[in-house]
Amino acid sequence: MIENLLLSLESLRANKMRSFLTMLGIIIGISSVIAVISVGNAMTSSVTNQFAEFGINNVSIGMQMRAEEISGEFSAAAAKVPKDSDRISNEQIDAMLSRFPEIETLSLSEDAGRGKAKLARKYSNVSISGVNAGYAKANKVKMAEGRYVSDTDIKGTRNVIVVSDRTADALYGSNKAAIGNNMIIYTDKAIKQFTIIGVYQYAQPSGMGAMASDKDLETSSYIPVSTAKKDSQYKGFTSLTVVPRTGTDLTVFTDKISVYLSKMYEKNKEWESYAYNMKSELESTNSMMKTLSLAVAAVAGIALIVGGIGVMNIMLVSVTERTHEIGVRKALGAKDAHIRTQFVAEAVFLSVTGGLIGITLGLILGFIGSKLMGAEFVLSPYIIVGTVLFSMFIGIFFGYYPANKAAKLNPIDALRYE
Amino acid sequence: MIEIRNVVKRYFAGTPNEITVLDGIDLHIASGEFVAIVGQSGSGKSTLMNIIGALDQPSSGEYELGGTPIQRMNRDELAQIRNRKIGFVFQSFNLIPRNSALKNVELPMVYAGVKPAERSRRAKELLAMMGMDERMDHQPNELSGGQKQRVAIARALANNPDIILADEPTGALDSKTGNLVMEIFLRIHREEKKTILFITHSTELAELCPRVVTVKDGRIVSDKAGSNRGGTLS
Ligand SMILES: Nc1ncnc2c1ncn2[C@@H]1O[C@H](COP(=O)(O)OP(=O)(O)OP(=O)(O)O)[C@@H](O)[C@H]1O
Ligand SMILES: [Mg+2]
Repeated sequence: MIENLLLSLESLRANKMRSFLTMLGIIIGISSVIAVISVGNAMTSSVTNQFAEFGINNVSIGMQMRAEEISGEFSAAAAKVPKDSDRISNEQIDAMLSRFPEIETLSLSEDAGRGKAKLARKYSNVSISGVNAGYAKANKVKMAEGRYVSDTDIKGTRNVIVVSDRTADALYGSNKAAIGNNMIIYTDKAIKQFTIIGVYQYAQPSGMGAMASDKDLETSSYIPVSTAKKDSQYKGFTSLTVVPRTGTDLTVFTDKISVYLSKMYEKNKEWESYAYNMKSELESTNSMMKTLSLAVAAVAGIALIVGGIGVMNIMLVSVTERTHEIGVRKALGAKDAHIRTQFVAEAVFLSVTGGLIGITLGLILGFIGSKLMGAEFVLSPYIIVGTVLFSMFIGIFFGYYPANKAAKLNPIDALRYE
Repeated sequence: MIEIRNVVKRYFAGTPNEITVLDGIDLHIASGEFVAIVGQSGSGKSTLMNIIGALDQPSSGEYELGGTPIQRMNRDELAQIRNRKIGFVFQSFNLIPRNSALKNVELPMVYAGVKPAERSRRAKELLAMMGMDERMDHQPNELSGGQKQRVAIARALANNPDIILADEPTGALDSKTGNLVMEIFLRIHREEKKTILFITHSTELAELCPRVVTVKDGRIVSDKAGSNRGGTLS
């Protein structure tokens, strides 16, 4: 067997260019399969990670402009600001909570602008969100020091704030030192002052890279939603997030809440409600990815078949060219099986070498592709082993016929062949 | 050793082009004989030798090798016979290209399943016997005709066969080199006690053989002792 492999190596070395051209089909087929699979894997895993950050079980609900309204307007940019009567009010939220006991947590958030928190010459960029107690749970905020915004803070419309450990570190040197301080934030319109009650652990969003320098990185800070609303002319909300209790069927729940909200907005001519969950988003993304991979895999499969036929063709040529040599080998006592193995080994060597070059090329392409999409590159040993086995199979499958043809040659006819 | 009775070889049998290349050959060769086969070109010498070498089958007639009828053997059994019992030497050397002299000599042993170490030891020994030990890493295209033929003879001896079949082994060589190769055959005959069949167009070389068989138009027309019974070149 090893003997045969070495033999086949010699004849391939003698025809380098031809061997390479023969391998090309396999190289293209294999490399595209590998590239697509690794980019697909990288994307799926990064999408999964991103959704996991948002909270896979969260249901986002809210209101948006009716589709007919948007297309009716001459420009989507002329989007109207919803009036308070169009927004989801506190009363409606309470009604919804009592209507749906499966809601475990309801998370509210209200944009309260952005600015620079300053202390002497030190500063930190922050965006301010008015939140309720449920926000921390829905968004998996991890506390590092102190406490989060509580219901009491909201009732009292207190001027308290929870900042990121980045902000705490930048201004006060440590999380502990930050607690209890009065932090001053300079926004475009005003100078605001809050008492720091807690510090949370900042988690860098995956797949984003460092966009701003570390020092200038903008992190969220949280104040009671009521405090944020105090400055706002609107009392209602445009969006919120609910987390159902574990064990709730997410799809059914989302449907129910969607119907409930639609009724609420039935008579509103400009605005409608929406409700969706990340899980179904993720599933549809995944299935789209699968379809895409399948399509490329089909194309690659065709390339591989063409490559295999190329191997078969070159093996047939090689058998014809070496008919006399086959005759000599038979005269020396080679059995049919010896000749067959020799040529199958040659075909396998061709296709596996093509396969290995294809894998290398595919991984490089996959790596570049993943990086371009900002996804993390995952190297799967199964794919590599699978591909090597597959190219071996191609060699055997397409090499067998020519090899068998060589083996079945009549010794004297082969020997007399010029 | 070799028992041939009424062997006929026809091509294009049953067509208007039918030709009878061997026309009822009877030949008996005992173990250890050195037989020269002579005759005009196209008389059927090579055809006869290929049948003896189990490379080809007769159209009719019987052929027994060492008491076993060849006709009833399958492809693998015939391969086995060619591998173990017979060593071929050809006019055009027929060394495997891009394989060193050593590899070429090892090849019959590869097919016989001899272990690599033993194979290489035996191949080196045979090449040394042929005076080719200095050239064993050379490829065929780096060797002269005489050197190639010596490698080919070493290869024919690899599995220590009973019979050496040589089809015009000196045909492609000048007379001096041809004589040298003939010496080797005579030596193999004398020292290794091999049965040797030797096709040649040279009456001079044929006369050196103890027995000379003449073929004409597919028939044996004469079968007599050569003049030099001693078996050495002067
Ligand atoms: N495969 C074949 N098909 C048809 N005719 C063949 C075939 N093989 C040999 N012959 C014919 O058989 C005849 C004998 O050929 P062979 O090779 O045995 O002659 P030879 O005595 O060895 O001649 P030379 O001394 O020139 O080698 C020739 O006429 C040749 O044309
Ligand atoms: Mg001949």
